[in-house]
Amino acid sequence: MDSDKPDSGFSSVPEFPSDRVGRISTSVQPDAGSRARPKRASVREVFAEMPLLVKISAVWLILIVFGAIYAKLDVAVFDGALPLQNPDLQTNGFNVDIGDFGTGEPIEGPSGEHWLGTDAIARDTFARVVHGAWVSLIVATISAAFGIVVGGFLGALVGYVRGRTETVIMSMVDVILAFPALVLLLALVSIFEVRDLVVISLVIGVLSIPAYTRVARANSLAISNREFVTAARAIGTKPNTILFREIIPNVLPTLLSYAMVASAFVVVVEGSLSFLGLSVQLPQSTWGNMINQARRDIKIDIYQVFWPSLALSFTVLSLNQVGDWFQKRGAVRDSAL
Amino acid sequence: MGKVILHRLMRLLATLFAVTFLTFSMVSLLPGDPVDVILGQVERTPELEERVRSDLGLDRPFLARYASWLGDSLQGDLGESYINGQEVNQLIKDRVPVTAQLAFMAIVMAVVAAVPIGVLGAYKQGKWQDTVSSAAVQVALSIPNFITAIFFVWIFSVKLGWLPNSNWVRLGDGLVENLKRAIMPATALALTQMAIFSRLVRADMIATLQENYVLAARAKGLSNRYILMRHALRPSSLSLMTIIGINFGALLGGTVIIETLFAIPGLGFGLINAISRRDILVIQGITVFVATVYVVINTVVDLLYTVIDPRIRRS
Amino acid sequence: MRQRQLFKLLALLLVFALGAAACGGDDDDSSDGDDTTAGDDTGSDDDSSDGDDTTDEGDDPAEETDDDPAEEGDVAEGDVDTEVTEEDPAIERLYGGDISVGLEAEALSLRPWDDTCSAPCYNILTTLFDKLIEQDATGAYQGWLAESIAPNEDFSVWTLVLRDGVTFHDGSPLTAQTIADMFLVQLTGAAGGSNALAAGITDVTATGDLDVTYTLSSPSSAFPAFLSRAPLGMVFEPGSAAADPAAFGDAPIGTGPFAIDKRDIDNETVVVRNDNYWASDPDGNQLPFVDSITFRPIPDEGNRLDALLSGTVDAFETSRQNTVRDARANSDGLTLYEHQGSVASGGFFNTLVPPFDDVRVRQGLNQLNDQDTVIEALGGTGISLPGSQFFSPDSPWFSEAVAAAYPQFDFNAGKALLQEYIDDPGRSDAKTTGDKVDVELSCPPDPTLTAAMQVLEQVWSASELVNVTLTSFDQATHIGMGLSDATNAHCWRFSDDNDPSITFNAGFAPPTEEIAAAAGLPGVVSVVNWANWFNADAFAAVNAATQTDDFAERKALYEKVGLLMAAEAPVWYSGYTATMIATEDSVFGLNSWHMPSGDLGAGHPNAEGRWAEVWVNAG
Repeated sequence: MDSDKPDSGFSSVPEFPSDRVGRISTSVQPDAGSRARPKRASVREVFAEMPLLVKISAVWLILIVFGAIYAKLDVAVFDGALPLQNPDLQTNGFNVDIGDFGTGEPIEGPSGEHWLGTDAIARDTFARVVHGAWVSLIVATISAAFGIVVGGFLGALVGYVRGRTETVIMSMVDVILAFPALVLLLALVSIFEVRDLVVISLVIGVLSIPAYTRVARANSLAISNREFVTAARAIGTKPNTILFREIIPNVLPTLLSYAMVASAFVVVVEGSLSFLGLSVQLPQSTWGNMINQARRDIKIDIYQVFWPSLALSFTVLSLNQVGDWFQKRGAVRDSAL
Repeated sequence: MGKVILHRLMRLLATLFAVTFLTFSMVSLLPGDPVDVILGQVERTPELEERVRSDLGLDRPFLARYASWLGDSLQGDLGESYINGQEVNQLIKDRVPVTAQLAFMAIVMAVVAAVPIGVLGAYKQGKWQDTVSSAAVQVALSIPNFITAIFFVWIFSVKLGWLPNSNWVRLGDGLVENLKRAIMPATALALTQMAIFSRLVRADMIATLQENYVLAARAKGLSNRYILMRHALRPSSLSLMTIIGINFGALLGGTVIIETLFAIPGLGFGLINAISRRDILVIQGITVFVATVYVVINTVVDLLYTVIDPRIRRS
Repeated sequence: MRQRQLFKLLALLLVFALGAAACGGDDDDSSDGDDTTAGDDTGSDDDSSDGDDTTDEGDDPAEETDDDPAEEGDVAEGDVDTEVTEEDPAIERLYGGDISVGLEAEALSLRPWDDTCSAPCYNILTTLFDKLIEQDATGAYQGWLAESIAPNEDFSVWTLVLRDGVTFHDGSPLTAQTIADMFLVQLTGAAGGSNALAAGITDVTATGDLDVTYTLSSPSSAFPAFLSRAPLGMVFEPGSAAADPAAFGDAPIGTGPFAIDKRDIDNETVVVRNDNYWASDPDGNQLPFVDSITFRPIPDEGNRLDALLSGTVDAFETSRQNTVRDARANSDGLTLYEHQGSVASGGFFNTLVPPFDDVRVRQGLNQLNDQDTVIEALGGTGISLPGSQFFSPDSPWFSEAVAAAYPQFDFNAGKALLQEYIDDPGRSDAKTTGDKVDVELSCPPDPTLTAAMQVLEQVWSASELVNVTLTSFDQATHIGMGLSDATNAHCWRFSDDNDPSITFNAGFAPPTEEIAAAAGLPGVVSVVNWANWFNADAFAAVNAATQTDDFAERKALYEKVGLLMAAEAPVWYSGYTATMIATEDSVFGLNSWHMPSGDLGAGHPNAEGRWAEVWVNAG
């Protein structure tokens, strides 16, 4: 059956990342005897286990999340009082406070005041990079949540129930999978003029359902054959209870670590949309739209392209690193049991 | 076996049906009068408006329209552009070879680079060679191709002046000139693919190297290189073939930004142009085409896999 | 005044003006980008020292790079100049050579009567087709394929005499009947049909072998201007066009200096020398000089310039100020042909929608329009001049009086006007007094336009009296919204270098039936009155301007319209659109093509190059 082959139906180009799915599906070993509920390791222990590169990646991700939230709080709650420059302030424009034009310069190199320089309309690039993290964070979080809740549930369900339900649901999933994600997104975003961050995230979330469904299904299949599930069934536990008490909690950890890898892809997709000028409303900065805007003046200052590119690439790299590591770790633990 | 194939083909049909249906619905779901949306930008005469209405069959019920559109599509008639009257299927025919070439080159380059890297990683698992190559692969995987492309152009076209950054030459009009133009975009696409493939090869080979028959071969005293090539790589290449097939299909729709950046007249550039001109039938045609090819390739790969892989046949 | 329901003509001109934006962006690079960054040094020192140079100009990178003794005399140092000059007679005119030209967009098809034609499209089409009339260097209209054109007493009937002995690429002769047949095809086209309507042509008749009579429904002294544009003026072979219009788009037949050789949409359009071309240059050299021209659409601004810099193409055109800036900074080995077009960029308010129906809001926002910073954001400092009217200072129609009357940036004055509106209990947007005014500002998603839009947003918001929302839709939608009045404050480019009547007549007609009826002009409705601003005096002046051919009289009338606009502020301006065609410096003659009379032609207005008289001389 197609679902058993290692990389069924995914590809990282316009689709969700796939080269890991094969290994995920084997991460829960059917023959391993006991219930897979290991003692929870503390955060510190987990962190200590990480190799250096993964540690760096994890720190970067934490910084990104913290930075994004900090930036949002700064604007939404503290009204710009926190120490971070206003990402939208054009420092060369008319400034009401001084009743005159600002003293900033567009397309400036790094300085004490502007750590990463300024963009074409004299805004602080560092602040814009930090604020850009917010969009990536939201898109990744919402689409992952959507993928896990909907895709994960469907996958866990069909892996357990099987039969006709499985055929029907997996066929529907295949339909979503048939659309190249970027093509469909482009069409939707441009035709329906979607510019709302949440809506864009949800659309990406819908497109990510198949990937999550497949991962969850593979794991659910494996778990369903385990002793504790068979035992629960034998003593007459209701199927619903088994699904929610036994299957889903065991599928979830794999899904979560897969979500990190999938999020890496989502961040790139949003970056691509922004790069084409088809993502969220301005003046909200995103890494993609910063690259797009700065590209215009690349002959004057290539670093304005470089900084957001670096932030985007490094975030993707970190998500991949950490996600991979958690998957590997999960697989090792499971097979050791 | 026959039953499996039949079943898979049925599913293919169902999927194609759903895909075309959804794509077709896009036009119907357009907010407002589709004629307004379609003709938003072009000069509108009553005749043109009438033509659009009758082309879309807006007076008929949705399902009837879908049925007749599907019928036309099956006969290779995807309608024609409202912007310049070009036939959509001709447009696709002109563009497919270009995108297919890019996708093909990207895949070939990716495989050529990925196999040694993956094998090395598996063979030297845990050693520094593995660490370095894995890290490099991770980096390649993490840089979006539009960023790679921007910096490629900056280095190779502008700073060094080695390669042209535009002026596509079709394959039939000169191989060398064609390759000079294809190499940058194809490499930008290939890097990600390379990362995916080499990770797959590495993981697969590590798994295969644990298999009993490999251990047996080793016990027989066969050389490591022989074992690697004969016993480990060949089974691994099956799953590699699978993902190559799928990714090739995916790349047909995944070259949008690269083609736009390099002004390459492929499907992606066509799609972006159609979107900015709001050329609905072209958008619809390209989307259906790309999705169809993707689904078909997927199915073929699935079937081949089922037929070829001894492990699956055994089970 | 007859029924002029749909004045769509302007859509054509303006669609093109916006045309460049769509795929936007640039890519790339520069050999000396790093060292030219002026900001690097100044900024890092300390910020307190910045106080003295509030006028940003000194640090503009474009100016900085002007320091290097870059180029020959024709590279402008300051703002873009539009002067048309004779090429040095010492440079030998040589035959032969192939050139390739990078264009900002693809010509949608090669049917002049049907498709919206923009600058890139004109570059291609003028190699294939000749126009009946062309504009000369002074802006006057002269015969091209027409030997002469003359009106009757009241400008309602125009008689055109064709040049003798002109043949199409397929060998068939050009006769008066061709023009009459052509008109029937033109009427079927989207562009041709709407232009015929706007020009008010009721009949085109062949009254002799070479005599054609145009009858107009309403007199117009500026009618020849219509025959200088693609939809009505470009001469094509009507037989094959009527037989299969779609096929004609790929295999066009005209009388032009070049004939089609290859058409590969979105990749290349190749035209080859027409050995039987009728025209020669003033020295008697048979035209054209070059063997073939390959046109390449390269939508990405930066990539297109890089293609030129790396020798991938021999010439390119742009209508982006920042690209002009970058080309100037890298002009070694290039010849730059710049033009300050009478294409004023900026935007319009939808004056039918509150609060923009109140002149205080429009005028207030105009006074808060910080033109210098907007132009800086566009990358046009030192390149584009701030706009004040539809005509650039290089245009004969430019009015000093209007320039003086257009509101200058004055933060406090603008704020006061807005405050007055906000405190007015009868304010038109029905909000409570004291509430901020809502403005939805919309531009296409091009990096340059969005930068400019964000500058306006900041300065408008700084008044603390305006809530600005920014929206950005793809090109097609943006233009559609402009046509359908689904707008609020809308980025736009106005006008062109053609006769003002073409822009003005439709642009100032009543926007709705109600307004038309109220003004006593039932049925006279224009959808291309973008701002929906109707002023009876302005409309009367615009109409009067087509009843006379006296330049001074006409200019006074258009000046009156300009003054009314400055006072009523239905639109705002940023800068004029600086355009450029740049070529390898072995390519000559773009600036100095000639009319059949021997006079200099109009040069390269708005990056519309004429390639017939271009030659290559590498020595």
